Amino acid sequence: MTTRIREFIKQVRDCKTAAEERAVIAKESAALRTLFKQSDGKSKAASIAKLVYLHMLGYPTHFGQMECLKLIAQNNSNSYAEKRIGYLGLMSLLDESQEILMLLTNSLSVDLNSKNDFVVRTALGALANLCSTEMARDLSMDVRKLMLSRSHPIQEKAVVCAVRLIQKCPELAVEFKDEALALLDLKNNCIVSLHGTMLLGVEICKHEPEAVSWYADKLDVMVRILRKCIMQPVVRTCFIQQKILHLMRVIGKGNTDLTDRMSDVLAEVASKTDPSRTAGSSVLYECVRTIIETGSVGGLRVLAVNILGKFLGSRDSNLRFAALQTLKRVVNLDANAVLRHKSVIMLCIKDTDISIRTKALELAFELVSEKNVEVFMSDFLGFLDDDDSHFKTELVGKICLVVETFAPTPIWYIDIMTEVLLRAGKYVNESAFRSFAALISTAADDQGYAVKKLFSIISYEPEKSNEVLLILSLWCIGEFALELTEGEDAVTSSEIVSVFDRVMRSGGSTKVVIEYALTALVKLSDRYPETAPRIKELILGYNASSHLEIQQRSCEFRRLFNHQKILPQVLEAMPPILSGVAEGEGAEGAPAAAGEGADLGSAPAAAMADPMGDLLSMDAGGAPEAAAASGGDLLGDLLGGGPEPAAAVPAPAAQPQADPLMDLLGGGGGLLATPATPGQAGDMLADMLAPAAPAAPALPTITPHNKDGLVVEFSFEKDAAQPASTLIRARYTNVGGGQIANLVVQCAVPKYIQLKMEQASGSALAPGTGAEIRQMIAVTNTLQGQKPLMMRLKIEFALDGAPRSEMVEVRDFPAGL
Amino acid sequence: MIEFILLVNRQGKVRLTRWYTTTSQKERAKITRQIVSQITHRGSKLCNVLEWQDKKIIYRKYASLYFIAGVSGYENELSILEALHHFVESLDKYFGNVCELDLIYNFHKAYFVLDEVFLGGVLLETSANVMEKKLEAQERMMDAAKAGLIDS
Repeated sequence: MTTRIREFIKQVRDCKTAAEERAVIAKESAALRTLFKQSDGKSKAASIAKLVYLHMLGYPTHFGQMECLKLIAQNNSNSYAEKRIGYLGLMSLLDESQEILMLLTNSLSVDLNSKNDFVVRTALGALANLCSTEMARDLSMDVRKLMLSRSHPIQEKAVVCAVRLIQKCPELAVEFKDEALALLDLKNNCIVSLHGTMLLGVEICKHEPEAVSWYADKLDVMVRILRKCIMQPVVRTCFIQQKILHLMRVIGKGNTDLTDRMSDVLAEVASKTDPSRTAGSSVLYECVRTIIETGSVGGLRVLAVNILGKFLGSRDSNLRFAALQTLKRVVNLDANAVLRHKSVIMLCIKDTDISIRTKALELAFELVSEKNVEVFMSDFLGFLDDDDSHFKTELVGKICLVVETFAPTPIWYIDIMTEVLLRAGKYVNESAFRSFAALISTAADDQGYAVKKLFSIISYEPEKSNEVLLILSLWCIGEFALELTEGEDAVTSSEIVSVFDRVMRSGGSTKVVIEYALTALVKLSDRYPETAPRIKELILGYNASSHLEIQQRSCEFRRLFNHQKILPQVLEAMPPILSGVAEGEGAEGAPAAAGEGADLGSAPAAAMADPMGDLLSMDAGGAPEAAAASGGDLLGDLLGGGPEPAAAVPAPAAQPQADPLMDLLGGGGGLLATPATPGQAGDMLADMLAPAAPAAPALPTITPHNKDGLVVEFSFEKDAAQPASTLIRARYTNVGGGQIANLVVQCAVPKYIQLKMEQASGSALAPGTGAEIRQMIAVTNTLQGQKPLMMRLKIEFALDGAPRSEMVEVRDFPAGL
Repeated sequence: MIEFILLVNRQGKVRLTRWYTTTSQKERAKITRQIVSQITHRGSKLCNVLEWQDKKIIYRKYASLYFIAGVSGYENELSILEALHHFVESLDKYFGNVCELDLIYNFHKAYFVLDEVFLGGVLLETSANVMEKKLEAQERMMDAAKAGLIDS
């Protein structure tokens, strides 16, 4: 048995715990389900009402949807009350994604044509709230008819319903033209459906560009109504005024003739409306927006900006929010007018309300230009002491962007960024950090200034520094240490090492800081040979570190010291970082820039990849197959039947993984002539630096891609006459179970490499057949020996019909190509 | 346009909801929870607009109830505030000094008022007097249709 609704609500409210509530609801739901299964002809309206309540509480109610439809479908003289509940149920329980809506369309169509006005109104309401695209198409004729109904309530609902139909199905906009314009012609003084009429106008103009001119012809009507509204109390007409102003904004945009004709009435609204209550201020706000967006000039715009200024000074925070939001749009038109309110805007950034603060901050940064950046920046830096971390992240991100864009001199850039790093280092994002490093590395004249500044912070005020600042400082000192020991404020090399020592020992230094410190130290040992013994000692201290990366670096650097001959080249300063390359030169420049970026930003990560590769090559050292390619090859061979001659080349323990580290240490390793010593397991670094013997007849095969069943292998051929050129034989095989079709492989290379790609021998690979596709790629490395060969592959194919796309960066080419 | 209207009390209990966009019930519950937790923590002097994801949440507090509208696009925030106020006035006229209990026990009637004020995410009736008359007429119609179906 179900209970009466009032009692049910009371029961639910009396529940002391959530479990108790669930029990009551489960019981009632079960009772409702049973009830819906009986078809005893009794009304179930009360039960539907209960369902609406259940839904509001967040419980499942889908089982009642059909019952709602049944209530709606009743057609007897007393059915209004039931229909009303039925529609209410549907509006709450359903959303338009559910298929049950299809069944609803017919009932709605019947009810829209009902003789009972109330039924029509209820149906219109339901249509507007539940409308889907299909319903909009099916029922638009009925709604159009009702838009010109004599009953005002029906007409009013039909007009708003039309707005909704157009939203759902924009191509209907044109169909509503006649009715929409006829509404404006009704010569009655009653303004019942005016609000809807204006809304409809805005909506039609949004989807139908021609409609702007239909409404432009009616401008006089609108102006007349607006004038009439101004005479009445604003509380009664505020919504209508707003909508008229909105429509005027839509039709007046970019049309000077129309804007001129509007200007009088706009000025009247702006000056006569009383802003002391929300109703009045909302009209003023709308009016200001219309003035600004239609591009009015002269006195009218001054008036509008002044109103916003008044809003900004108001105690009502809603008005301030509205003003800040709108002023942001004025900035592009007339920045000076907004700049006049700068002090208030800055005050708003300190407001306690996060909504206001974020808006004010956005606006303030819009105002920054080359001319005023220095003035603004002193204000912005003042906000850095704020506590709210979300706000601070936003603030710091914006400061970095502004500094990067508008910095008058590199020195200023360095000063501000150091300040920001010092006070809010952890909020500085990686890209800003990287641009700063790039600036230091390129600004040859100011490097000394930057390095000295950073050094003085970490040596004299270590308590103020943080991880980000430390990393940057250590990196800079490692790279540009020579600047430190020259000019005024010069320090001695041993002082530098002492500071490093202190930083590394300090409890606050993280693993990343120590990693950077180790790399910087090893570079210092080359710049100042007299410090080398002490540095060696420092580095050795970490060769038992529990952190893998630190230990590895320490061991590698120790080994490196044994190779005095190659030290200078390995520890050479990095080339200047060109931060613009990545964006500026597109695909061609990208790999190179990305490589440099990786060196700085993710040096630990790049290095991390090495030990793995190395171990692999050690294990496979004696095998006839190329080390890095072994996994893929074996598989390919098993499935492909028979060994692949091109791949089965005897190779010395390969160097495919060497490049990233060589790059990290300054590049240029490829030229070094340390003999390859395969099998000498302990000497990792020497191994990595060993080039392939120039005359070696075969180079190891590599496997740049092995995923989704598709294996891409590269084998290499060199012409002795042209040492810079390499012929890459690409071989694509399918080792998975799926059908590969439409295979397209594209290559991008840095600028210093010339590339010529031949047509592939096919594009489809059936699984399990051992079929393969071949493609020749000829590359010429114009900087052979200085820069390693690298390329980026874009592999596109359809696996069993599903499109796949992969980007692969190939950096593990055999050294010396 | 208004994407949804919510009525919740200070404890976060939902008293009325109406969604004008396609959102699954699960999603609705999630959004409601997040918004309510943010709004109930805001002080009374702060502004009534909150930027939340790509929407603006515009709310007003009347006694223990928050009236909340989720708005998308470049809407006039002050106008939405006024519209919420208009809705509260309509409820007040209809119930006669409305209180939270009225909305709890007569939630279906509150829905009828809501659907007369807002339709498909926009304001429908802008005059409080006309609204009162319309609602009265509907009541009479309900009585005529032997409105005993829902106990009241």
